[in-house]
Amino acid sequence: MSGGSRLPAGGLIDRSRTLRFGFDGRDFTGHPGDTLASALLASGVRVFGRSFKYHRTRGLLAAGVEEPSALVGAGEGGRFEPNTRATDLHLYDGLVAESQNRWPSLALDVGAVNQLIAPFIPAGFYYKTFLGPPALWKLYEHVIRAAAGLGRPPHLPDPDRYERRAAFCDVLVVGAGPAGLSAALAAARSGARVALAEMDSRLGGSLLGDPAQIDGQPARDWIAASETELRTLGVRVLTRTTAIGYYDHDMVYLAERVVEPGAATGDDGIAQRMWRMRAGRVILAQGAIERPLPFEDNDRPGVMLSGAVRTYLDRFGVAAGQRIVLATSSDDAYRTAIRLCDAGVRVEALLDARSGDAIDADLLRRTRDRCPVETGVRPVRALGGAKGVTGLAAAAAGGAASFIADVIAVSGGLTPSVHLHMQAGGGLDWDEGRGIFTPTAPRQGQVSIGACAGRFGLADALSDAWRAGLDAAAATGGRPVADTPPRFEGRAFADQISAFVPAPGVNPKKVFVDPQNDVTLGDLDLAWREGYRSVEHQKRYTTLGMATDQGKTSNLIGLARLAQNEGRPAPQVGLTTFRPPFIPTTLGLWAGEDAGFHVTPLRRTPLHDQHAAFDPPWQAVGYWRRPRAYLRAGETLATAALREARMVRTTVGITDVSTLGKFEVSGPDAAQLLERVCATSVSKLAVGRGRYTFMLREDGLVNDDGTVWRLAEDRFLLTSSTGGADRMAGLISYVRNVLYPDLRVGAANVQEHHAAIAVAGPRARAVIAAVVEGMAPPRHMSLGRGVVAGVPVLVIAASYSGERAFEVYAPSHQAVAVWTALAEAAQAQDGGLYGLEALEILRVEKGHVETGGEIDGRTSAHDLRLEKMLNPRGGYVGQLAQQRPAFADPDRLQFVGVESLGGPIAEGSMLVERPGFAVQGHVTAAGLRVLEEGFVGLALLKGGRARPGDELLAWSPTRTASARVRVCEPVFHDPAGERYRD
Amino acid sequence: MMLIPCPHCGPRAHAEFTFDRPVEAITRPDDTADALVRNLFSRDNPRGHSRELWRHTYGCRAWIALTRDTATHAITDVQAWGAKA
Amino acid sequence: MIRRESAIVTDPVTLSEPQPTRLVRIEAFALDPAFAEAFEGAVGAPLPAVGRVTDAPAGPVIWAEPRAVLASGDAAALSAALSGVAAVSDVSGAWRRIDLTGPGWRERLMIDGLFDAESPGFAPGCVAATLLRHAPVMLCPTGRDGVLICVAPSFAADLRAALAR
Repeated sequence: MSGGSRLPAGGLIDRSRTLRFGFDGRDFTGHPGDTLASALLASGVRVFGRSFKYHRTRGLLAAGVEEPSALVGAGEGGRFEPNTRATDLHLYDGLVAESQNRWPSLALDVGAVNQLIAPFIPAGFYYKTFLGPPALWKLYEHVIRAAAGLGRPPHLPDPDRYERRAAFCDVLVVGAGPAGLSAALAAARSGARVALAEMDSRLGGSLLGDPAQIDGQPARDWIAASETELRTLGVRVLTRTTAIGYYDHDMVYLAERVVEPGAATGDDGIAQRMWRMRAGRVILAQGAIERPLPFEDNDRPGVMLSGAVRTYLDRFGVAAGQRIVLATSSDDAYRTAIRLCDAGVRVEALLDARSGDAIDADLLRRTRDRCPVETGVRPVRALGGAKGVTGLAAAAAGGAASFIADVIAVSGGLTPSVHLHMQAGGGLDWDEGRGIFTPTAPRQGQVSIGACAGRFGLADALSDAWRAGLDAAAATGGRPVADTPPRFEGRAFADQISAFVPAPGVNPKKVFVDPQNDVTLGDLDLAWREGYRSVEHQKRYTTLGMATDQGKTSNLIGLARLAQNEGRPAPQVGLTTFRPPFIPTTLGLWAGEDAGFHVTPLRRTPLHDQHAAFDPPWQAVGYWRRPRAYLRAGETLATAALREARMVRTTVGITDVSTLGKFEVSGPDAAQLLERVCATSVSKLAVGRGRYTFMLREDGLVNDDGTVWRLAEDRFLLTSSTGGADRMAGLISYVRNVLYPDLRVGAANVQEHHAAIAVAGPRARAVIAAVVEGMAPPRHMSLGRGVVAGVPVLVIAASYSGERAFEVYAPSHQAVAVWTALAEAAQAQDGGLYGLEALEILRVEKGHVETGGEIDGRTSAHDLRLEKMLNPRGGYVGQLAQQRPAFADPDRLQFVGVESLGGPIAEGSMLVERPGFAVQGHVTAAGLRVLEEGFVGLALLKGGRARPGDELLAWSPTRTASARVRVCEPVFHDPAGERYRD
Repeated sequence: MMLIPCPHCGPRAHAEFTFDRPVEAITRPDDTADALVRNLFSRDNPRGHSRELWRHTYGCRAWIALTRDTATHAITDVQAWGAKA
Repeated sequence: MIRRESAIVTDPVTLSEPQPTRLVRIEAFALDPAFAEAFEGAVGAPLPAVGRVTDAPAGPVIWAEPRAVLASGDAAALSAALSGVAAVSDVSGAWRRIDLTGPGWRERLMIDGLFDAESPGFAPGCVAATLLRHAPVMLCPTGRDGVLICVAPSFAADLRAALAR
């Protein structure tokens, strides 16, 4: 008989209720309070999974998140979560879980054949194999992909929601074991705003199930009373919440499991919650993680950490096995042996590597009253095979010994968890005797207490924690109370010695260090022999510590081996960098609500619903959505766009241009500010008149373009492109506030205040006359004020399309009525609505440059043929930068038109002599002649202004498209502007 | 993410701010091309204290100058731009 | 499924969207006594302190930038009254208002937020400009167990839908 079993009594589980769950297709039962691991262990399951490379069988090593081997896929469908630690999954009714990395089954896995070729696949073998022949690389890739990875990803969309919350506190306590609870109580009583985060489902940490007495009461009562008091004091108590990362300025990310992996959510649909907690001080009480011992085949099912064996006993009422042998180099295993014996579990022996006189006599005596204890004995080899251990071979001074056992409980001592301390920035002290690093020199507001600071004794932890809580409260404005800390009267048995070196004669190739990635001591030695001697190289060459457990039980052993090979002390060899997240996290947790449709925020124009009524295809322009065309029955996007463009050229069209940047600049120095920002003159505009303008960057290249209108003597309206709107807002603010703060001017961002509707076409004037009261349609580049459907509007006359055109500005909350009136009037003129595609076709034919196309951050005013408009008086941003030598280079990319000598031109095509020849430019926008046949485009071409008539190939090999084109002036429709000039 | 103490709004998350440039890289329209190129493109990048221009874009929209330690992100001496010291 | 005793108690909130009113942006040329005096004369209330909201006859005055406030009133009239000391622009269409009321209002502002709305110091009379669910907003706690959220119209529909979930 071998394997675990449920004891008839004991544990913090609710034996009155039964939960049903499935694992690998078999039905099991457990109780509320169980984890998947404890319930399976109680049912006698020994094999939980297979290792990554060799596909060796794996059982439970631990009871917490440090578990490297018992990884399962939990849940079904879109909720399926791979690589879930069975120890970190709290049991629920209806749970469905499966083991990983095995085919066809856990018991019979084809991948196990890797063990036969193990000598050929040590660490780093893939750097030396799969090299040739190149023709087989595609095959290798296929094979390697199939072999790589552990769990399989879900293939259905995730139905759940993930929430992200900001939170603030004076004192964040990470970990609610005895130290964390003590610190939280001290801080809360002292008036601090406290938050307490605990990764387990309940508070208590290492005290859970422990029979210790605190303040004269059983630990479980002290925990319950503490929790009640904390909640009463208004502490934010978060369970199932893990601190996963410590960031700048004491920002800690806390990952909360609202429901367990794979479980259905509550009414709010939320599966997990990410807290972004900003703290004043952070008290780290994360505890310590036990490490195993090095001996041959120490990866077999049945080898478990002794602290975990005790946890399964005390917390879950589960005997991990029928016959247990313990091997240790620390006092902690004695507590396990005593607890096992007192619970009636058969303990074969406790083997301590230390000599008898190095061990507390009282502890030895108490344990020997219950079971055999042998000192000076070290484990050599686990006996047994794929189904689990059957015993342990050990070595003593007097010779060899072997023990029959189905569980080998090992303890190499405790390793303080310094992860968050290191992420926050800090130092480490090395304790050679105990073989541990302890935190020191914190760089932010963190302090480590209890086991994570290397203070393993309970009494010390409680009083340290109390002090830390008071100090943290005082530092954040609280008033420290004079109460006494909680007291533990017992003795602390917390000694340990480092036990990284295996017993003599042990074959290092058979000693597993990282059980998930199958890294052995032999692999570490191989890496060292091959010259990978920095700790960072060791990690990456062998993959030690790179698995989902991130080396929680293995990193220090690896470091010690490297130090041993190097002949240098461990701190000189150093540790690899600690990075978030502390435990694996799902992508959904980080995405929060920014998934699916909401992956970016959506900005709607004031006329969005008017467009949506036509269900048009939408164009994302930054966060905005603009309609591409208003398709009619039977139309494609291309035919609709052409129809709309023709409509604008022949009758009239209206389009929503509300997304344009708009600024109202007013005050005595308004013109002066504008002439700093804009590269054209502005002050010469008469009241009621406007002009095209453009703005440069500080480095002299064109930044954006737009128009400027003089509304009154000291009031202007400046417009810019949609894409440049935020940039312009920043530039105007920068010039006004940083460079010229004394100007008597105000610059208001009125982008959202004004909705803007363009009315363009030969009949545009008729539409404006019909709809706008109190004003005659303004002359080209003039403005007027009127009323439409009771709404006051500003009307400017400017053309982007090349036809006579107007833009009607109305307050955005009143724009719908204006749009409706204009749309009706346009229809009455045999016109209608036009969208972004038509707008683009029209502007290409007219040769207007566009931000994002021809204004691409590399083109100068001269490149774009705008140099004549530069303000001769200067003084504008970027003016003198234009004198940089590169601006005079004749080979610069310059704005030209291209007309096709054949078929359509693909946008983005390269301009070349012949395919494969040097690229001389590219097509920035492709279009066609609206009222005639023929394809045209706009382009940037080296030295283009001097090359009209050149013939080139517009070539797009990725779309297999090419067209012969002729370079020309960039205007294909009404070059003189007769259609709209007065 | 960093916490930046805005002189008007108090300590706020970094996401509300936009980093603009080191203060020594501020250029003016009347800077010669040489001076401009030097300020914009040829700057020292020392490890340690950096005096920087930031904007509280999604807060009070104010421009502020602060000193940031580029190694530790410690932020000190935050002043509203143009504020008399 | 295990139902944990949740640490979160989701208190109810209600949303409503009042109609836009006449809103102006006043940017002082300089923050000097001349401006402060002219402001009080034109608006009928003293200039609010940094980060504060004050009441004026035509509506609340909201501190927005080091030398700009938002106030209620007619842009042309205020522009004339403050001629020489400030620039006044009509921004009536630039802000939508969402009233969030109910016991859970502070908690709601923490979801996808950056600002400490749970701080007791954040109370009626305060205004905080920040980002909420990716939208630039101004938050003004009201005395009715709730908060007035000012948001640009383009973000308003998204923000309203997100707050209502």
